[in-house]
Amino acid sequence: MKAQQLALQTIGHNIANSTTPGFSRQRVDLVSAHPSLEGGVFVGQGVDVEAVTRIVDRFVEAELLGLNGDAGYSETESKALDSIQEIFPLSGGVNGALSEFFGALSDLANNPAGLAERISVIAKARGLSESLAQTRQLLTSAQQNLDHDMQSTVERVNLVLAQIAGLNKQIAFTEVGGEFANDFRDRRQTLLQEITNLMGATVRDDTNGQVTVTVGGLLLVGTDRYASFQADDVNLAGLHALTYVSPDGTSFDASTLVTGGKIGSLLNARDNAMQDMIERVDLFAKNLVDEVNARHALGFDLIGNAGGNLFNPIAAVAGAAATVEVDAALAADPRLIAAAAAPDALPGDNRNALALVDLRSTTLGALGGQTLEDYFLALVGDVGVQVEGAQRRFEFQQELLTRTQTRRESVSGVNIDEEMTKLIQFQRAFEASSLLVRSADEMYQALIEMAG
Amino acid sequence: MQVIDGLQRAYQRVAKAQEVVTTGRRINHLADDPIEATRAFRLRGFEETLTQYQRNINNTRPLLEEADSVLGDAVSGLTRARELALAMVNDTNSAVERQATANEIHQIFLQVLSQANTKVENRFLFGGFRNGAAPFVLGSNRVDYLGDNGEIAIQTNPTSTLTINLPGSAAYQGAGVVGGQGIFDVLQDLENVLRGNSAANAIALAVSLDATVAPGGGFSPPDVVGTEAAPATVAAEADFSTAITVFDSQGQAHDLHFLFAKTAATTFKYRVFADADEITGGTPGNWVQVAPEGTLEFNGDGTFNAGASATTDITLIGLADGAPDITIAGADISFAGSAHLNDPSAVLTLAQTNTNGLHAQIGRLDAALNQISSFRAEVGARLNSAQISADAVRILKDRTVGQRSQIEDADVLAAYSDFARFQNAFQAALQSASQLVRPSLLDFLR
Repeated sequence: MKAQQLALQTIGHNIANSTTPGFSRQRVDLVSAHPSLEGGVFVGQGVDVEAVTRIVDRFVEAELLGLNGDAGYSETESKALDSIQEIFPLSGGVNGALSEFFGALSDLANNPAGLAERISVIAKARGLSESLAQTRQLLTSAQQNLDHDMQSTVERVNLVLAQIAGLNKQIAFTEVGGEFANDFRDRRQTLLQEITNLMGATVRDDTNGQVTVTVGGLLLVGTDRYASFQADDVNLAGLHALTYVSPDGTSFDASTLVTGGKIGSLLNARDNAMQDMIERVDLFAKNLVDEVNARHALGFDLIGNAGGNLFNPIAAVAGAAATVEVDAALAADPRLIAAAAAPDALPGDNRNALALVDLRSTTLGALGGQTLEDYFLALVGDVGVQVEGAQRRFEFQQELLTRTQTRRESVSGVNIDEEMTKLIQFQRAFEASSLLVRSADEMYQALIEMAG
Repeated sequence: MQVIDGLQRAYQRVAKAQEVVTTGRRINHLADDPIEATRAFRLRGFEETLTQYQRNINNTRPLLEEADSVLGDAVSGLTRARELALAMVNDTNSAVERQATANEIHQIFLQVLSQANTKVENRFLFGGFRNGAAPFVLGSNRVDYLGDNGEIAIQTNPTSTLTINLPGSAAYQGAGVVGGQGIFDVLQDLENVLRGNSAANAIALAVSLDATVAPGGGFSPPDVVGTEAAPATVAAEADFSTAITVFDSQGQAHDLHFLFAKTAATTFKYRVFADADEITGGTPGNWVQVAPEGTLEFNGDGTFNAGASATTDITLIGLADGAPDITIAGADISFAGSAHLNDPSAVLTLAQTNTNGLHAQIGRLDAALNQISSFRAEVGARLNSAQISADAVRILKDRTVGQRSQIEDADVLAAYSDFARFQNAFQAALQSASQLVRPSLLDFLR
């Protein structure tokens, strides 16, 4: 009867936890008790509880851990890049501004003496510089967001690692006495899934029921010792480095060692994908300014002086897009735009304006033999391809994860119907046992009455 | 769990289809189709360029049309001048008639001149690059061109440009044109010829030389042929100077300046100069000696001693238009006798002109008409080419817009049917999910 009660309790536990994430169905393993030999006959001694087992498919669990790392990576990647794609709108944007700038120059070529045309060139040049600065600003703030995200994720990682180590200890402590730490194991499994999701860690089972968690060769959890991470050090780019602090307290930069899971994805998106885009926008801006200024300086303004700068010159590629600005003197006096190719051919000479317009279709060596427009388009296309790829990977990983989770659920999940059936079964068995007790009781009663 | 996942996916499909239907665009985010999205980007850029070309072409039109009309008027003016000149060829016309004709020619000249300074949108049509001020200015004598020969090009399609102006130096001054004529010079010369009203064939010079002038050393440095300062500044060595207008075989007028220097009591030296730009195409205001230095010897009674004089033919060399040099034979120069020797004031009494000049002027008028007409035809050809470019650009733009629309725009019918389909699927999924989730043993235990 006790066995039946335990079974009923387990069913209750299962049902109660049917919606607990990571919970594995438990089963009471009953065996018939060792029979006793009585009068040369083996007489059954009833039932014994052998164990309460977690019903777990170890392969599925292991697969799930691995998939969690990939899913964490692709989900973060997809989200990070998704935010970028809106920085490059389908119409307008830097491309639109560039097109308008060349359009204004073309109008200037149509009427080089026109003040309105000159003012329009300045306005469009401003529009272009603002558009570039805005694009870069959005890119860097997206990069900063990834950085903050990484920082807050690190806090969660530290918490999870500590909990895993704690559970390791409890499991070893519980199971050394021959007990089964089923629920501890479930909780640890959930945490392991989370840590793989967060940083793509590798989990190895040890003999005493404990697990060792590593990532990129770094020990995260071993027995009840655990490492932690810090993201407080600012590197050159104004972003935070990921510092690993081992269980014995030595620490070093692990930014390149963690490549999986959410953090790996954040680091990769931040330091590679985003950084690459920012650098390409900068290179574009630098070349734009250099080329426009070089051509502009070959011409002569409406007053007859040699052309100055149209944009403020930019010294370095890094950060160029944020510093594109129309030359202040030129902005104040539109006559300084050098549309003419000779100082004595004023005001009708439009040859230098045409040369500036021609820049639109000129391929530039510094941009890999592409025109300005094509270079930026290639960047935009690249963003699109990356986003699309990330979305596709995310969907695929998600599907894979869902399917594997479903497989896990089918093994370890709680099926209410099954539990109810068992409940009734054990209830009946319990009723039958109690009936047996009653009959025995009645038999004793009869016996006592007979004796009495 | 799978049920929820499936439902979510079905819902996402519905949402996506709905976005396509509401925006009418197939590509709403870069990642919807990055390759096509960049293609659409590129096409849009190209489209904007084409729109710019259309704007450029529209810009050329008023300029070319105005040039066409101005040159058309110039052709009419020159034709009228030619008719007038033809009517005056025979010598039976009276001086009054010739003066009246000359007046009308002058009006034509003024009209052509003012139209040559036509302005469109603040730009002088015929000024070349220097189109900010009137390019043709009537000086003391000739019309000066203040523009340059800049040709303003405008991009009208991806591969070609169109020149939208005719520099006045070519159209009106004949620079760079074979047999090119200065239109204003032609009209002015025609007017002058008509006003001159002389039938003389030969050039007769009547030179009055002042005997009271002290003999000097003649010219120095001797026989320097080349540019010299204007006669006025060499007056110290030239006791007498004057100008006389002659016409070359093209009918082009040249002012000749004679300089005289008294070397002995009855001996004079002379030199003949002309403005450099009329003879050699040099800088205006510089003077070129057109004939070797000569000497004139007079007898004691003041009569011309031809035997002792060394007169040479006066040859205009290196004419700007490459026409044959003209020669004034020494025999044609007649000097009046001694009577004038004692008259210090008169230097030269007669400049000449001749009717051959009128014929020559008509020849020049023909050349000028040809010149203007061919430039007008050129303008017509450009207008035509602008039209062709406009058509080509329009077709190209239509095609580009079509291509972009194919990439970007949703097939509305397909999009809507997709939307309906996905919505149906979603509802079916919802329904089946509710069916799937509901039955449980618990339902039957009650």
